[in-house]
Amino acid sequence: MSALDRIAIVGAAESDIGHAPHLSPLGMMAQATARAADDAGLSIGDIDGVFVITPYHHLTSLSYCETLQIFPRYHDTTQLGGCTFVAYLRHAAAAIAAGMCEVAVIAYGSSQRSDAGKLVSASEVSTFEVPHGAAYPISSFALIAQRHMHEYGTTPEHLAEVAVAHRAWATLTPNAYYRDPITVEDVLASPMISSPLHRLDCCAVTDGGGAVIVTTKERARSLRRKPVHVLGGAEGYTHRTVAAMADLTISAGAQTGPAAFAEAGLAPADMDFVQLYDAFTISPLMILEDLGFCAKGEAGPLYASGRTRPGGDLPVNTNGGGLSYCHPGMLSLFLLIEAIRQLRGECGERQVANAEVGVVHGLGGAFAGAATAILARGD
Amino acid sequence: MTSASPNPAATGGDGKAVPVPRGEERAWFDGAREGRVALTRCRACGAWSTPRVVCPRCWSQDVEVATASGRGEIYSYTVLHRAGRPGFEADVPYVVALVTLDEGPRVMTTIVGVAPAEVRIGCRVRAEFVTRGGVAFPVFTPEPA
Repeated sequence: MSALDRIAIVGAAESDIGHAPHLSPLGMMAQATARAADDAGLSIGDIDGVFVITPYHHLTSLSYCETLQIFPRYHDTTQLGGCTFVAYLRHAAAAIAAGMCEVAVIAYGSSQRSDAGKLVSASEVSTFEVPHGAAYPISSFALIAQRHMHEYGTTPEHLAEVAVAHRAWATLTPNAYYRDPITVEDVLASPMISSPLHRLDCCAVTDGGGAVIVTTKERARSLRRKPVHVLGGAEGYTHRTVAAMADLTISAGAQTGPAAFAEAGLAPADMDFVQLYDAFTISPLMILEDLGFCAKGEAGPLYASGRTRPGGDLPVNTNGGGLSYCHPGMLSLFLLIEAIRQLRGECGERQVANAEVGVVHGLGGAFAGAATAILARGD
Repeated sequence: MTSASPNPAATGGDGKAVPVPRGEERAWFDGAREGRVALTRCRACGAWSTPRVVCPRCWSQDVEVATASGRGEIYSYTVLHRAGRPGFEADVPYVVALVTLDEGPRVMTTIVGVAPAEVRIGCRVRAEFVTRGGVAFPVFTPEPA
């Protein structure tokens, strides 16, 4: 039996998001944790395993636990970049299955919108990259996009279609950061930042925190919410610095996607929705390809066909994702929360009909780390 | 208690950061000061890599600093229309590229001596050397046709 078979997701919540100058990063983590515990019908004092990271706090789990005055018996602050929270699902499952904790919280918070209005990153710049003036992380994604265009004929219009489609979902999401519809022409007319990526090829920069609570399936039976189950999961990486990415057009999703689907015994065609990491418009194209939703080079035309938009047969990033909903530095916890909400049927106008199973895929750094999870509505 | 950044970088007179290499990383910059692209070559398997103490192909520790040809090919590039780091404001638009060296390793670099709009993937390039704040490093320029 896989460790994932032992666990259930029983609580999920966001802090105040978007522009939240009344909250610090730890304040957002604490608020989201309190809301997620309420959602689950648990007390914060029940938490005995923490899986947390934020670039604001070097010893994140200690700062987080001090804030809440909890003294868990299991700490994990693994840092794989923005995909980390999807990877934490597996880590929490392993710890729970081993009996090292029973109620695990996965949490994050960032005040980067209120701080600076731009990405706040604790990331070091590689000694070998320092002299060249590349913008991190956008220039790394730009290099990836340029190579994808060269190899597969992907166009600036294809990239723009991603921003347009995700914005279409955001128009249905009441608390999305950007809600005004945009067109391909709007994206292409926005200022070029690091070619081929324009301003509107880039994600929102917001405040935000979140928390997800995981426990045993046995304990989940006595809790308030219908559980969400994790049918498969995987984590991996291809590089740290973009110069070391062996093939700029193939991400670690090509490892983690197939592995997660294999564990779940499901295929991309079985998914009712996809929540994927969309800090820049090239990412959703490569992720859909690498996870097997289409062949290499076909994701641009797939997006242009409208299939991923509201009403399409392959709903992707149903709240608008990082491009339009919120992107507080590390996104994948918000992808998880949206997947949980879809599986619970809480999504109002943007609800995917009969959503029973979906895939969440995060990337970390500049398409460096990756983690995939297949989630399903429990009984 | 002292406070030290894990990624120290001095600032050159032009406001741009200057790398502060440590240990084996210095070979790359020391080689550039002498007009060479310096890599690591494994005596056990022959693999070339950016500076390392363990071969990333066969994991032998029997490696040496060796001089590469200084030639390669543009694998991908991006034109920055806004400064990507402090001090680069006056340089826009400028070209950051990944160059695959003829010996195999791929490096991030700056492309000079060509209009940004003329840069193409696959273009053959050769190293030139720049010194900033006392630290030298390679940049690349298109080979004469």
